[in-house]
Amino acid sequence: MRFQPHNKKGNVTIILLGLISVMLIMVMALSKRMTGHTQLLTLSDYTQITRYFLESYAGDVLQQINMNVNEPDSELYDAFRGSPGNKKLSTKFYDPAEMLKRLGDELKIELQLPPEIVFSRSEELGYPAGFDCPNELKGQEKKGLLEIVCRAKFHGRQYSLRVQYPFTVVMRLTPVLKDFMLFVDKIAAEQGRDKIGPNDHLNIMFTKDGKHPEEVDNDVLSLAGNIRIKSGFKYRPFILLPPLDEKEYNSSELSGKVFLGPSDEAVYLNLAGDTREASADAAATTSSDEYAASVGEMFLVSPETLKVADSNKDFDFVPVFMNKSGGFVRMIGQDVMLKHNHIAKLGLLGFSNEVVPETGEIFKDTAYLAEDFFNKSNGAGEFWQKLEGFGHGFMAFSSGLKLMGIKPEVGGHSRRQIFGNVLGRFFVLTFWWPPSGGGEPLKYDETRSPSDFPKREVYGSVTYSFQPLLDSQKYQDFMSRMVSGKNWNPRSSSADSLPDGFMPINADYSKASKRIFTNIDFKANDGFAARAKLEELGQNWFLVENDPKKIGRGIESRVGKTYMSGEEFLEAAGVKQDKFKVNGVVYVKGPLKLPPLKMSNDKIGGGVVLVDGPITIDNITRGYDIDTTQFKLGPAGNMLGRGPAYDFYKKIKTEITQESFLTFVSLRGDPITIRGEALIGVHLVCLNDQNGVPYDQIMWSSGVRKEIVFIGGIACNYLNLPKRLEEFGSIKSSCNLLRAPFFLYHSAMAAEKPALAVQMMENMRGYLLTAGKAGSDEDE
Amino acid sequence: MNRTKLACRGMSMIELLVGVTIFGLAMLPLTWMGTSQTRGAYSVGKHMMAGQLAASFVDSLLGLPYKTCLEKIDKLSDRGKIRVLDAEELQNTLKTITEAGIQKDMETSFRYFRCQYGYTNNDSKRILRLDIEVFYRVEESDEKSEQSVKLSVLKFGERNG
Repeated sequence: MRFQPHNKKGNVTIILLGLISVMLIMVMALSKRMTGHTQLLTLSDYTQITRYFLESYAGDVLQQINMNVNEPDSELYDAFRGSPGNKKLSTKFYDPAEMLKRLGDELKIELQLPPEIVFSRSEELGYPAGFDCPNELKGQEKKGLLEIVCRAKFHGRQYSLRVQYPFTVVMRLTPVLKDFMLFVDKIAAEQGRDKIGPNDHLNIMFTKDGKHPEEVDNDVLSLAGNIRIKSGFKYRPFILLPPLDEKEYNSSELSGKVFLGPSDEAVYLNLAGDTREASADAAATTSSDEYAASVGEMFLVSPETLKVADSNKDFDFVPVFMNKSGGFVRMIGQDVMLKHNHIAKLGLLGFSNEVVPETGEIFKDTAYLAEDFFNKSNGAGEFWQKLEGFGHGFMAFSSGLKLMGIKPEVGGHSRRQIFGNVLGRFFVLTFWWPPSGGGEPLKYDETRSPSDFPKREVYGSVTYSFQPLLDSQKYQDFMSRMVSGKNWNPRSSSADSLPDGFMPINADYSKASKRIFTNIDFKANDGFAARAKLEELGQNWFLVENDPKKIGRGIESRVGKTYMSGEEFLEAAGVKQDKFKVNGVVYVKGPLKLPPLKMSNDKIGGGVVLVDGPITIDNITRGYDIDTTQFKLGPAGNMLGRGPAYDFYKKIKTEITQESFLTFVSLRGDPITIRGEALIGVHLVCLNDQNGVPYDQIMWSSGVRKEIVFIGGIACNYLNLPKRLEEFGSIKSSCNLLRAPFFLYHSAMAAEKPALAVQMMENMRGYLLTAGKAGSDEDE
Repeated sequence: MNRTKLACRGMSMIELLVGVTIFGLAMLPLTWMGTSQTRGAYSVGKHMMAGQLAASFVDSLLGLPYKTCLEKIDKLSDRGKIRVLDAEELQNTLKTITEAGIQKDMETSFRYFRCQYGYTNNDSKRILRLDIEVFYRVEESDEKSEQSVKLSVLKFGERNG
């Protein structure tokens, strides 16, 4: 075998070339892989950058929807309030924010306009037990999803972000509750078990000569042992004024209802008495005349209240019996005709200093004692017996809460409906005047035979006897008594079967009679009805479920936004920008300290602010220049129809609507402290009883020095009335007609068509980011 | 016979030298490529980590209420370029890791990562622009090899109308 050197040389070269080729292939493969890495990395960077840009874009669209959706003249306003279906929304409202455009320019991302907005789902919001929503309002409160699609181009690729934002459409005011000017569902607890005497904290307003003197006479105070009010302190009544507007005055829907609960307890309000003759209350001729309206509440008693009175005649001032000097003791009442032209004098007396036997004028210098009318010991009525035990001084104290306002100059009282077992308490003195003269009181006696009427023998030959016109009339129908003078237990009989001798502080105008109103009688102007006890409605609506898996069907399901502090909420509401936009139902982790809200109505977006903690509220004047010291009833003779207060109400009646009405709710029963004298267009709610006994829930701070004007509604468990009257008493009043805070209902609260607010929520759903080559549809 | 033996032994010294030289020259780019790829992969890792960090910082700020976010970024932006390990979010994460090994690894990985916050605020419109830039070193020992990932986003304060 021969060796061939030439062939071997060639092999090395081939091997080397092969090796180099393999290496080159490896280099190329590695290089390609690296390029791929770099490309992937670049794509990932681009996607991340564009993702944040598109999120910014969607955020901008959402913010502008929020800005427009509750503006009544915007396209979005109607779109959300109508039937949504799956319709596309107009995007005319949208103008990209400058900062978004600048960001796009800097990143060289091309913003693609317009965005696409479409309703993707919607369903009706339910109501908690007891709330009967009328058919025409069903479905107006709803929740749904709004889909926003934003597109942008970046480095030759088209990116698209599709997100869904939940929204709700809710009423700006609380259904049913908003129809109440005053809703106090546990006020009966403020009256104790006796319902009269020292534990009765409702009937504590000293009354004398048709007025409520700021300070109590010491001699009366000494006759009312342990009464809740304090010597040397001033007190002013809590008067719920009737509507100043005539139409509202005559409407049971618009005059602001009242509920004093609970439904299974009775509340007794002592009607303030006034023995002044009618002429004392006659209208003065000029506005400058000194004139003080009577605070007497006997105008609430109509003849049909008393079985034997003539309901075709009004009550008038009548002489009832004579004093020792031969003068007549006169009081409001009626002469009731008996057979043979005999007359029974029915005199009505409210609670007032004049009635107190020891200090008043009624029994002074007369041959009669109070017990000649009301009997004594076991023969007397239940509350009279208690009064004798506690002290006659309590007869000088009437209710600190005046539900029907002050005595109207002309006509009857407003058609305000009072719900709950609220009974008016007053005295009836009956005196029989036989033709022979003299006469005698018809003493209270429940055990007396109903046909055992008094007789009187004159000169030993003639006998006059008390014979009622109707045979069906009983002695007990005539006798002197305290009306609503027994502690009636509503649990033992229904409101419809209220026994004789009680007067509900209510008038059923359709039936021209007084009866107790329960939830069945409730009908709001917007059509809502109450199918549960009123106090249960309040609880059900504001119920917060402890189980996180359950959501209450009331306010809890309507919360649109949550703020972790009061400051955060105020910022979102735009207080710094001189706005206060709630626009829905918001939850605020309290405390909430509200600054004065002086902005005009158009800068206020109405809604419900649920505060988990104490609330402090300053003035809410809505741009009106209000000097509450000038806020008075009209001049004498025109109390309800003329004057600065009337002029003001006329103005705000139409300018303040539900769109700007504000409700503040203390969710856990923490106190709501009012630091401003004027609250206009506000509903305050505190219905979560923390203590089980009366405590301060809604109170006026000692810093309020000017006269109080409150226009709106209050709903709470307790008023803690003595403290409130003391707070009112510490404020001077310049109004001769009404020396008390000015509480008015605003008829916008009872509007026929409830205003709705749209709430957009920020928590995105259905997030979908896609990318594709520019000019083609998304492929990823 | 001797010549034949020599010829049969293989390549000459020159041939061998030339071959080795060519092989060596060919290996150089390959070695460079290998190093470069390792460095590249390392750099990609760092870049991705920086991107993730930036995104998590952005998301964490976006999750805050507007005012809190503004206050926070205002404070952070005053601090200039800071170590990411000093960032509150990362510290909180590290605290949750109980295993010392992992914690140490993370501390080692983010040793040279820095971040810088910036913002622009439109108070009246309640729009806040957040700029977050995270810096990392391609070569840990070389400060000049610092690269960065920057993310910008707009945060919208709630305006109820």
